[in-house]
Amino acid sequence: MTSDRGAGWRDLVASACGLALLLLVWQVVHARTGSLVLTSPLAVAGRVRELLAAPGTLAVLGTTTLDALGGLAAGGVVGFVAGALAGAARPLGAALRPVATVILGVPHIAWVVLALLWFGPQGLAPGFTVAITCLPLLFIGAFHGMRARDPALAEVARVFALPRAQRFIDIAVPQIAEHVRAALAGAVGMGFKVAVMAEVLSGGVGVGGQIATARAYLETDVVLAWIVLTVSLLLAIETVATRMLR
Amino acid sequence: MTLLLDGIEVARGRQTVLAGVTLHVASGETVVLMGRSGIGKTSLLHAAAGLLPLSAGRITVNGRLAMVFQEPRLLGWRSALDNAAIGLKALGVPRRERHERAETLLREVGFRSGDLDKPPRALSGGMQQRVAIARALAIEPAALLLDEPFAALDPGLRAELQHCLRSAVAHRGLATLLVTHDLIEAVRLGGRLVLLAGRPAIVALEQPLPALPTGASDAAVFEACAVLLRSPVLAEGLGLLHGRAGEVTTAPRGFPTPPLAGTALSARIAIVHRE
Repeated sequence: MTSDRGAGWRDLVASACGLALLLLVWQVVHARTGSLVLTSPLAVAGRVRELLAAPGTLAVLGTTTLDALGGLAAGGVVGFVAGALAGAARPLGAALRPVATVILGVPHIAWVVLALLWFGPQGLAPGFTVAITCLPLLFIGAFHGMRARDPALAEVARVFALPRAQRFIDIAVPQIAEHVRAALAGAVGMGFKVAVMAEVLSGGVGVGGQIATARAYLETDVVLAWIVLTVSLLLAIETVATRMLR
Repeated sequence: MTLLLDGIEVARGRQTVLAGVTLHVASGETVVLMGRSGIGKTSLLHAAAGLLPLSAGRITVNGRLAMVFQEPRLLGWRSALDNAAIGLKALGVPRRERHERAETLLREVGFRSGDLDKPPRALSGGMQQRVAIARALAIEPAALLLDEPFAALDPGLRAELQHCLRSAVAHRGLATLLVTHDLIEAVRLGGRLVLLAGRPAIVALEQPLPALPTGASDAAVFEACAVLLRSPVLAEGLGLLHGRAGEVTTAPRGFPTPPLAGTALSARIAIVHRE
C-alpha cells in the first residue's frame, strides 16, 4: 500500500515535470519568435482567465461539446449496433467490415467538405462529421468484442435457458465492453478534434468558429486560449467517461 | 423416468461419436458415466443438455435440467451471488427473492458469507466450483448433469465437495448423470455405473454400484473399487488393461463377477473394439 502510494506520488511529480518542460519550451520559442507567432504562456493564461469571465464562453464551449458528444452518440450507437450484429453473424460481418474500413480511410477533412456541401455552413455539418468519423471506431470495437466472446459462457447461457435479452445484456455486453471501452476513449478525443475542425471550416458558433475569427484578426493569444480551454474540457470529459465506463 | 436418452446418435463433424446409446436416470438416482478419454462422455452430456444436435434418437427430461461443467464457467464481472442466481433471473424470479435463494444455496455448499459479493477472480478454484454447483441447484432442476466437476481440485477439497454434492442431490431427489474418470468418485457418489466403449461408442457395461453408507471409510471405498476392477470389461473400458492394439475383446455373456455387499451385479454386454 505504502509503496503504491509512493509510486503514485512519483508518477505525479514526473507528470508535473513533463508539463513544466513543455511550458519552458513554449516560453523559449516565444522569446525567440515574438508574440505574433507564439504568445507567452503567461499571456495565454491571462486570456483564458478573461474568456472564462466573459458571458458567451460557456455557450461556445457548450456548442462544441454538443457537436462532439451528439455526433459521437449518434455515430457510436449506429457503429456499436452494426458492429455487434456483424460480430454475431459472419456473413453480415464479411459484408460490413470493408464498408467500415472505407469510411475509416476517408480523411476527416473530406467528410467536413462533404458535410458542408450536404448540410450547408450552419447546423448539422460538425455533428455529422463527428458521427461519421466515430462510427467505424465503435463498429470495429463492437465487432472484435463480439468475436472474442467466450463460447463456454454461451453454453452456460443455453443450458440455463437465458432469454435472448439477458444473454445480450448479462453475457455479451460485458465481454464486448472491454473492446468498446478502448474504442470509446479514442472516439471521445477524436470527436472533439473533428468537431472543432468542422466548426473552423463552417464558421460555426462553437470553439472552431471563435478560432477562425481570431485567426482572421491574427490574435494568436486568443487561438491558444481557446485551445487550452478545449483541451481542459476534453480531459475533464474523458476522465468522467472513463470512470463511467469502468 | 426423469432423464431418458433413447437410442441417441451424435456426430462431431463427419465422425459418429455415439451410436444408439440408451440411458435412463430415475429421480434420486446417480448414474456415473465412465470410459476412456475422448470416448464421447462429454458429447453425451452436451447432447443431453441440448448443446449438441442429435443425428438420431430422443431425449426426454421431466422437468428442468442443469449442468455443472468441468470448469466453473462463471461471469467474471458479476459477484458470486449474482452468478449463483443467473438461472433464477432467467426464470423471472424477482431480484430480492433470487438473491435470498442463491445465498441459501451458497451457504449449503459451504460458502462463506463474506465471499458472497466477491467476483470469481477473488475466489479459489474450490469456491468457484461451489458457486457453479449452487447455480445449478438454484433453478430446482429435476435432472443434473455433472461433467467431471471436481477434476481440477486437490483430493481433500474434492472429498469435501463430493460430500456436499451427495447430500444436496439426495436431499432433492435429483436424477444425476455424472461423468468422471475417478472410480473412487464413482463409488462414493454413484448408484449405477455406465461404461462407454468402442468407436463409435456404445454402452459397453451397465451395473449397479455398491451402496456404501454415508461417511464410509476410505478403506471400504477402495475395497469396492478393487472388486469392480476385477471385471475385465470395466478395466479394459477404463484403459487399465494393456491388450494388443487392434485386438477385439469379446467379454463373455454373464462373465463371473464377485458379489458386492449384497448387490447383485448384472453385467451386460459386449463387444469392445480396440483401435
